[in-house]
Amino acid sequence: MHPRRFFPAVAIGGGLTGFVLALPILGDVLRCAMCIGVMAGSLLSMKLWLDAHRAENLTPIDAAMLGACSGAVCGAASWIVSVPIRLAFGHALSDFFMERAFLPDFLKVNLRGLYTDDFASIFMSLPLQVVLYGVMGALGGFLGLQYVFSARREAP
Amino acid sequence: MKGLRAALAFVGLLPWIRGLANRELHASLGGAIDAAFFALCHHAPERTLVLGGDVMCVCSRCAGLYAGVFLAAVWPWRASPAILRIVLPAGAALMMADILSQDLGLHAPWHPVRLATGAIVGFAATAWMLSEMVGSGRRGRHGDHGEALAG
Repeated sequence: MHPRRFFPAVAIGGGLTGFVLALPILGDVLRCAMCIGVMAGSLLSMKLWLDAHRAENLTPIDAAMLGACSGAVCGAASWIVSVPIRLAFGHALSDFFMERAFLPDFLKVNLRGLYTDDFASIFMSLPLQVVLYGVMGALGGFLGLQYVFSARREAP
Repeated sequence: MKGLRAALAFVGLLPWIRGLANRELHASLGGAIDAAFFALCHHAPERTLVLGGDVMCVCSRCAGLYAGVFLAAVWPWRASPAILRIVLPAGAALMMADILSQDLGLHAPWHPVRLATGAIVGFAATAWMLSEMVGSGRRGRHGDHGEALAG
């Protein structure tokens, strides 16, 4: 099992998903749907890798590893993209959401919390986010192989 | 495998540590945990458990899901993949039924049901993944051993 063989598919799939999740407003909407965004990133990475390696199939371990790499990249990319946004536009975005009458109060409070973290919290959230997204990505990769790309599952 | 189990147990326990040790955690560390989970859960107040006077950083369904992930990671016995293959969609169907009936206004959010459905899905998905990985690891080792013997 060599995680490096899943690059650049996981870098593209995870990076793209992380970028989208970090975008204000669009990412905030996607975030409300639990961890589906991260799992979708694992599926995208898996599709990219399978399309590029048509003669190869994946074992459950490979699928979980691919998904974990994709999730970790997604978490890191999301963090990298969101830091300048949070630091530069955090308060403006927070005010923007607070003024939107159509948003439920709980969502406003959550979004305000997301955009007004102190720097120490933002910094410490990176390793947590990478591990958390990596674990969710591993589950997404495994379930993706079982349900979406089952034809490409390597026979035991 | 041990590293993966440790990561799964850590992630599964993290929102509960945040909730139970809220006052003892450094504010920045608490904020970091919140920031990491903000991206994964809506944690609407009426759908979130309150521990020690503070709302958890994830909703009660996600809290159940993470608890299920933790339990599967520390579960000492290997569960049968054939059973888990049935339990996971059954748990997901129960969860969908609860989500639909709750969002259609048929009942208020029931935390025990939300916790239970989340825990079933989290446990089944994680236990299935670990079980299949142990299985393919064993097959791989036996295959390598067979090839070595044949060679």
